[in-house]
Amino acid sequence: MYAPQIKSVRPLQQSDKPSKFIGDDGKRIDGRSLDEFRSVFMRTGMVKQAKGSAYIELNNTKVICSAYGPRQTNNEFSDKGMLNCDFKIASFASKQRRKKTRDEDKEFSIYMRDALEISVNLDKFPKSVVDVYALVLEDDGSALAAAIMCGSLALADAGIELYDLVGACSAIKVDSHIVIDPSSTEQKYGVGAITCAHMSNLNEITQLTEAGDVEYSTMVEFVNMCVDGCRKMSDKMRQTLATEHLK
Amino acid sequence: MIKISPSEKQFLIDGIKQNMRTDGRSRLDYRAFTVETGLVAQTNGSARVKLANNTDVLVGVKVEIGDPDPDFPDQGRLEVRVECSPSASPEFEGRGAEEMNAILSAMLRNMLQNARTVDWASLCISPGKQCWIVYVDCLVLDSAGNLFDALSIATKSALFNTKVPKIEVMETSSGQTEIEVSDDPSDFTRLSTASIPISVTLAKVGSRYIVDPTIEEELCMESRVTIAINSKGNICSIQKGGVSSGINPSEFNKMLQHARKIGLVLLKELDALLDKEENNDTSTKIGFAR
Repeated sequence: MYAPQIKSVRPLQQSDKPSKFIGDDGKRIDGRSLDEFRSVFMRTGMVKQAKGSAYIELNNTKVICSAYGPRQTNNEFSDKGMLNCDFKIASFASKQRRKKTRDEDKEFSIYMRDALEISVNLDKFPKSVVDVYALVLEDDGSALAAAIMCGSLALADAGIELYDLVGACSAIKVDSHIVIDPSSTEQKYGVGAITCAHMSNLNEITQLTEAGDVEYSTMVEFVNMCVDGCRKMSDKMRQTLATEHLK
Repeated sequence: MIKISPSEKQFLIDGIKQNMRTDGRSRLDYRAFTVETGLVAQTNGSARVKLANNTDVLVGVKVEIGDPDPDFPDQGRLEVRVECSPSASPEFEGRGAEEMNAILSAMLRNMLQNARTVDWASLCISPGKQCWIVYVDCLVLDSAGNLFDALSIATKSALFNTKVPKIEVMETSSGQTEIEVSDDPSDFTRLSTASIPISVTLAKVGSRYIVDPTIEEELCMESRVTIAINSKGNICSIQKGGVSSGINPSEFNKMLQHARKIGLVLLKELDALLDKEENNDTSTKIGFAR
């Protein structure tokens, strides 16, 4: 008689790389044009416990962010306030379950703090610290950019004095085309992932990280496209704040 | 932590405005650096870089056979770790170095990980099953500013120095693969390091920017941009840091151009140094601290 055996097997490794990222009609896999964002949804006041909070959705990238403070610091005296950011990705956020990778979270927390701290009027609260916690519920690409915008909205919602709102935008090169707001597939196989945060009224880049070998001319184009993207997003953020707070 | 007084700070800032820095350099001058390779016998490759005898970093590379990244089953894997030793500065004690370690290793990882800098596919042994893992471990022994560039130069040199043992892959009758690592120390392959970039750090002080800041100048800077350049003049990674000022996009453009020019000069100099180091008779080397 045939006795079935139980064997442990490796899951099949299937490549999810599409043959073409940009179709003949110049559209991307999800039907967007090269410089088109995914559908954006923003709102503030999600977390009742927090002084201010915000939620951002870039289609399947979902980030929730809350701001607390200012509170007294335990550190030595400082005549300027401080911003403390904590960036976390939920372990179920992407296709493969995330094992604890503290390194990446730490790295992104620093990027986020650098992006936001320049926009905060720190002279207004000496000896104190403001905490911003970002939690990525779902990550389908551009999570850092979404978290930066979400953090900026949460700070505004908390009534912290800001010089400007910080818009953020990612871009990547796939099939020798530059696309903005990349999805996770584009992010995985693209070259030169750039994330840029920008204050549109002051025209200042507050944060910029890039990884991947690109030519100088591409880099210039990257920065220009990202700055344009940031402007669009900060307009959207301003609208959101206006409708939510003036109703 | 080193601290400077407000008047000292003003002195430095005024000097930079007049294109005369405290150590006699102009704004875009780089400090002279020395490279030594093959210092640590237990590693597959190592290098020590000193910037003006003051910033001192040591990088050891070890290669091991292990599981590939499930996302990229046909490539080798990279692990970078930077450790700022408390012997370099008391502020690195305990958890104090955590943030510094995180940004330094992130910078190096971003610089090395993209497919074109190192031929990661050549480090695959058996797709999905086994590959070479390259561990890049960096130690900061002494810090006098600009750890970013010192580490990037040291990492490139250490990878240049790395010897990967030759292996033989055999298929056994039961369908499993067996790997035999050659134990002959002269039987090795080298990594392709020609397109590995090095970084150039620009610090914005007031409305000007300077290259290769010293530790005092780092205390005056409003923001820092670290740009990695490879031998083709391409940009391989960018990391901005510093929390007190943003950068205008057109100014950023200028920074990119300067970094590119300086990076190409540095790369040429480093290549010459590495060639010399490679052809040198290593038996004359004695000891570690010289």
